Amino acid sequence: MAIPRKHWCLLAIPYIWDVLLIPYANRVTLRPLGIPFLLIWMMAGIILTSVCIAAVFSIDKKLERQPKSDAGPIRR
Amino acid sequence: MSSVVIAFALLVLTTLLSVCFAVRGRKIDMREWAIGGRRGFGTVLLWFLSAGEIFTTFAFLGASGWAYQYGAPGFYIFANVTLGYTLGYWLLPRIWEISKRHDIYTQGDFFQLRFESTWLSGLITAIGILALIPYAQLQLTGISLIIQIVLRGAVSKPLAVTFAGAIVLAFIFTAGLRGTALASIVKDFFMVGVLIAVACTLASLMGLRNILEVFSRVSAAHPLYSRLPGLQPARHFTSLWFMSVILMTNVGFWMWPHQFQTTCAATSKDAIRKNAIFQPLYALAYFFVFLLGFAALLAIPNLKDSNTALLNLIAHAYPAWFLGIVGGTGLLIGVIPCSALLLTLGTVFAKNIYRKLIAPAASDQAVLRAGRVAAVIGAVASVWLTLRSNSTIVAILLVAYSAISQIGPGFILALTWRRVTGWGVLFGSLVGLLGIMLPAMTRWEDSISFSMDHGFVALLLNFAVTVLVSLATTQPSERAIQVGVAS
Repeated sequence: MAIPRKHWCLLAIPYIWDVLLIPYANRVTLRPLGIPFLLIWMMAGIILTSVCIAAVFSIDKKLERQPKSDAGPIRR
Repeated sequence: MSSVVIAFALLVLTTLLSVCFAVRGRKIDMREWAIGGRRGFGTVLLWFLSAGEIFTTFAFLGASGWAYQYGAPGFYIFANVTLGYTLGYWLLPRIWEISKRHDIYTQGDFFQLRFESTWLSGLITAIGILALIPYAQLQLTGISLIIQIVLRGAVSKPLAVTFAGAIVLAFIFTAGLRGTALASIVKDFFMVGVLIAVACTLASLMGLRNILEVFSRVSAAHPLYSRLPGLQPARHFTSLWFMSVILMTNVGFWMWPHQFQTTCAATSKDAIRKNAIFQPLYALAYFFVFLLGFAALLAIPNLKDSNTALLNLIAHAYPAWFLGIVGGTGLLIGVIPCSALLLTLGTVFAKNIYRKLIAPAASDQAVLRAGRVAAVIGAVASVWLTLRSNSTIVAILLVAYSAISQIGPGFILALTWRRVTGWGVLFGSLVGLLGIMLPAMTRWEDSISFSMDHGFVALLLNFAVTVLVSLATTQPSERAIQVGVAS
């Protein structure tokens, strides 16, 4: 399927949040409502991930619905 | 005594019911009936069931135990499902497509087609089976702990573990896989019920204004808990460790033997991808599990075995009959998945190793028997490991993941890189396995790892060897490459 998949780099965001940024999230000493910042960070990561995957999925569906410019049967 | 009666009554009743259903030969299990028959109600029930599925022995006892003993390091668990489904969004539809195109339903079959080697597929299957054993050990640890606590220390650990193994084997041979499905639903109902009850009552029972006060109190008593490396800095659970464990469990997340089959059974790629959007949200429930672990830390700070933190909290704050219910639920949470695991171990061994490699001409009966024997051997091995080990439940899970993730590099490269060869995957996997099993290698890995988990270092070695050996050997035929890489 020659559908351009550049929007899939959105799927890198959960990795950046849950892996790369951990050393920085760990340094924060704020505790909103008394809850450890790292705990809130990881939970925010969950919601962020759902949003990213949902975004990628909706773009994927939109691209799959478009008829191809070179005349051929619509692939689903 | 009443708590014991309730706990065991729960288990016995569920087993009897599930056996009855299984024996009556019902083709449709309760889950399908619930979802297919009643649309609107089905969605609610499905949500309910999925919510219950999140709470395994690992979640219930393991995660709360780690919160109790270490604090922040346990938070890596949130990333498991999160990154698992991020990877899954790409990986699972590929698996689904490949299975439809080539009519294959197991990991072993995929490796056989992709690398044109029966022995490689056997090795990969064997790794999957090997990794199931610590997973079963994890469940047995939970079950034996519950037996010990519910019987108020009247039973020694070896006896409790052996009894746990016996219960699991009895369940496997009476209820089977169909009985497991029904018992699973009962377990989920009890599980969610128990959690709601605890959520509503714990704060007042502990003399707190509201449940969030647990955090500020723990902060005052144990200030190290909120950030890495947590309550025991000598364990080196640093940021680097955290990152390494998240990546390792991510690579292993979809490599379990039964998951290939489950993915193939999905109705469409869209069903898989839509599922990936919502599944991570269930992990938010771990917030409550950690909260309970911290509450236990406040209430009973000097436990020797952190695996028992949650159970001891219930024993401390609630009446005996409630401990019985929680214990019985916990028992179901351990016995049912353990049975399913060992049954999977048996069938995977029988179909992919016994029939393909050992006795290709064997009758169906012989294969079935081989599967049963394998399940029993798996059970015995798990019991033996449980008896010897004092590890936390989370630590045992990480061992299981360090093993299963060794399939990852080969699998992912098979799907993305034309140049990867069967020899590469073979040597890479073996190096990875040795890297987690040989004490000499794990010690070396720990010395160079800068506190990263040695399973992760073994994974990196695995990947490097796979790539290097692949480059040095001839690539598979074009047809084999197309099995994995074709878009």
